[in-house]
Amino acid sequence: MYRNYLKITLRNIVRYRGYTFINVTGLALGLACCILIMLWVTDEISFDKFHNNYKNIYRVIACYNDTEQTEYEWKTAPPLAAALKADFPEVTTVTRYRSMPEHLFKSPENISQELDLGLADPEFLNMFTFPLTAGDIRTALAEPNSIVITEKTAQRLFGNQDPMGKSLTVDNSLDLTVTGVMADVPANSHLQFDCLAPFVLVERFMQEFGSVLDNWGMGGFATYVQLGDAATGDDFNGKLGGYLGKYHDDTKTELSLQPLKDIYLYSANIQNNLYGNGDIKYVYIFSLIALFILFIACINFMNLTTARSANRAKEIGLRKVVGADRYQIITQFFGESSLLAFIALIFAVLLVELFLPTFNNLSGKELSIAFFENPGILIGLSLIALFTCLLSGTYPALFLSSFKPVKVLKGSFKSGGSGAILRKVLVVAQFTISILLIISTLIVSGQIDFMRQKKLGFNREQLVYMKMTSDFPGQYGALKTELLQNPGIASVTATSSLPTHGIVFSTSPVQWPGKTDDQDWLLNAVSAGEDYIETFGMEMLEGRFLTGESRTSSDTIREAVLNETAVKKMNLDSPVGKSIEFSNLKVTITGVVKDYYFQSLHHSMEPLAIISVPEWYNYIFVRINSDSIPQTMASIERVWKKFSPDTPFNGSFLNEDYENLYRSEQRMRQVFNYFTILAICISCLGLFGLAAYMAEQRTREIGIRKVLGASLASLTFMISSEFIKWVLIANAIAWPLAFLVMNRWLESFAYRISINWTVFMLSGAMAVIIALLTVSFLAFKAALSDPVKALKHE
Amino acid sequence: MIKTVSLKKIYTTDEVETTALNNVNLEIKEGEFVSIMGPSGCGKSTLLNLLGLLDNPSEGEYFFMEEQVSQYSERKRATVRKGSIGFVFQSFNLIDELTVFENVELPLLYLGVSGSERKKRVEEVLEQMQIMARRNHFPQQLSGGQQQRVAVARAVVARPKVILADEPTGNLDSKHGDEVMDLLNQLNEEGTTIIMVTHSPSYAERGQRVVHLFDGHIVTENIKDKFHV
Repeated sequence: MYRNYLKITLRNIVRYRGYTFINVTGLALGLACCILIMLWVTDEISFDKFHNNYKNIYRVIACYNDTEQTEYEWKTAPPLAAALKADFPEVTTVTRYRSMPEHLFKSPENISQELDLGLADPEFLNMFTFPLTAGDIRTALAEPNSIVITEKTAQRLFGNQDPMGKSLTVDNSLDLTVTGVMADVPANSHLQFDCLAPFVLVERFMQEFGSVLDNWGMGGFATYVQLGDAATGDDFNGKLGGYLGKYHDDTKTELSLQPLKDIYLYSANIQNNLYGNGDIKYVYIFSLIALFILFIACINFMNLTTARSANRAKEIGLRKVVGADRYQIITQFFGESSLLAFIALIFAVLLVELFLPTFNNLSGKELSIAFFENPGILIGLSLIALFTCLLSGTYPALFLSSFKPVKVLKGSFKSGGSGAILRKVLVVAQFTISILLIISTLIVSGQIDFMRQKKLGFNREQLVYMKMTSDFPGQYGALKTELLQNPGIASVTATSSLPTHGIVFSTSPVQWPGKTDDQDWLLNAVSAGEDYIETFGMEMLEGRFLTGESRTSSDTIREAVLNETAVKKMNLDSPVGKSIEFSNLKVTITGVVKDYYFQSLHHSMEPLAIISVPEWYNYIFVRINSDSIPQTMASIERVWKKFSPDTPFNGSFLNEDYENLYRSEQRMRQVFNYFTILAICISCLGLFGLAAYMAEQRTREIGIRKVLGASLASLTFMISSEFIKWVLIANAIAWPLAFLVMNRWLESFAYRISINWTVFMLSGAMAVIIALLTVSFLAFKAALSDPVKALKHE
Repeated sequence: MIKTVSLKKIYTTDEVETTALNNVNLEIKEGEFVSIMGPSGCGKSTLLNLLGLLDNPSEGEYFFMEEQVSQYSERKRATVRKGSIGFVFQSFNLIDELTVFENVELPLLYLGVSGSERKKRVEEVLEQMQIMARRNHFPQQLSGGQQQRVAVARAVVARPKVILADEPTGNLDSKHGDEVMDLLNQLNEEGTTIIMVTHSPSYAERGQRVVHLFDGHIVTENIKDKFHV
């Protein structure tokens, strides 16, 4: 029996090659999209789950209750970890962590590398699963001068030699001994570093702050806790209410725990995240797109199969006459759908193999479709295939098996009726989804362009910056003088942070004249040298900018410039000349700078203080003239080498960083673009198949109309208009839906475009034109056919 | 073997109600060859469909092999049908994607007959119908007469008690028509009950009894000599 089914299926596949091609291609494309997105989603949700204890590990989140808004930060004070461990028996392990990116490391053989250093307590290696290939996790970070490096770092600094016990010099000033080599940090870890050193070294790196480790007023350190098996994060959160008040007077800051597994995907509302984050929102959006595309492909399948049911009607009737019951017919056609779905799946896997490198490029991941190494992928594939079979096979099987032999064997059978209505509904659904995707794509693109082109309050063009190593600040003045001798360089300044990377210091609550009790918020601080305003092209509203970059940290009097938002938030009437106090520093306001965006436009404008602390300088910014850029860059490099022959020159353009700032949105836009085009292609494929079939079905009607004098144009219009009507209905459904969805998405941006009605018109017009192009050719061909043949055929 | 009591069939489409059969009382004995005649639209095919359990009557009773089957579900009708009733249609109704052998084999598949037994029986019946040479051809590669012989082969392969033939010669020229009629007569002589709808009086005469239908009623029944002329 099953051989008979298989035989007839294969013969039908061959006989109706065109339809089979449309069916299988559509389904394969849909499945391929689905598989790609499944791989991406699987990777996104796998973050930090490779740690054995991941279920018991949490990051401490500080919650600042402002009068206007609540802000969440992962930055906590250094003494917090020990206090939590001492106060709560359920806390089994604690560790602090601070990321120190881009420090210069030198091996005994004088090999220099810029590496990302992580500072962590010795328990870090116990709590997290970063296995050591050499050394002992219990003692590797115990000594203050120890360092653990990853295998890749070991290879870069020591080649094939054994690095254990060798020494490394950091920033030409600090010697550390390698006490462990660890496996490379997996890509799906939110913590990323090239090497780990003991947390106590933080005081070496932040000398200007004095005592850091026991300072409750300091921020900027991540605290991780591991709870015992019996404790839960929620219960623990309940105990943390008001906890910080015990150690830190007058604080309104509350603490809570964030599960380790949530850090990567659920941190959108947490300021200044350690690394580029994922966002659960995109996981949902992409999963939805995958489902949409698969759904569209399944609709094609259903539509074509049922539309062509007349071709199979006689067979079904006959099978019933000779004794088949409905169940057997259902089995047969379900099997047929499954076979086609399986063929499509094979093609889909090949397509995935083919496009995975492109997709990896787009998504910035290293995904692979290794079935046998990863049983999860195989299970996922099987589930997708099963889902596709059920979705695309069930309805045709039920529909076809319902044929009455009496009717179909008489030869009067036409595949009209309820099936035809459902087909129309399905085509409308397909186009609704396509239009939804077109509108979303246009709005996403609009928002990204808006962010890229938004006036930032400074001129980001032709700004080159270099990261300084710790031996640089002393030489900064001389370096600046030398650089300025080049006529291609307009101005030079130094600063503590990049505008694209948020702000380095978020100091503890600030004091100012007239401060009321309910004002408790964070002031961002940036250290900047002279000529900061000129180099960046910012605008001073009042007073003057800072002077005296030659001053050293021992000076007690400091000056500050505030931005407009800070002045507004502090309610200062004439700020210039007033004093404010923060982070144990008393500073005098010398001027007010017009607001400029120093963070991604996801965040709204925040208060900012610019102060002058040369030890904090991390970057040199150079504004160059537009002509002869390559020569100027070469000359900057020459000067750089002169001052620091050991440090590789790392100059780059700020503008390029801005392009990276909205990378997740850019990626989303690209993925959106591709998947939208695919969805439209699959929909059109289905529409083409359906139109071809309907034209075939209507040959008799067309013949009669022609005999009665219908013109070619009117016939083409008649056939096309049927389809256009569906697309118009799809527009009516898609527009309000798209408006709701995209409005929600735009709300995640502090600065956003408003949705313009032209987007809807444009998408609608696009859908109509695409549909028209698809069907008009067929309609024209049908209208051209010979009426004599058409009528005789009956 | 077959008995109908006040059989009635009404078709309803939207607002139009058509009575296709009304008060049909008919009894057919095992081994009989009954011809049904009448003008187009008189209900011949409807009657055949009811007798063949392809459809249920609107009213009345139908006894097939002493069993009241008039209100059977589709599934139950299919069970009774397979193995007991064979069908031959005017337009042959062979499945285009299956070969001659596979078309004839189909009823045996649904009866669950084993592979070797199927092969034996199909070859036997193809031999009998003299189309063995064409066993691997597809229907489109055969003449009308050959196609109808395949259809007859398919109808008899499961050795049914009854063969229902709906204008089996309607699409054939006289030579091929005669051939098919000879086959039917031969089967009847071997004991198969045959009920045949036809427009041709001469072919109708080949049966032992002719039932005339008009506007859904039986108007006359001519009982003829058991042996044909």
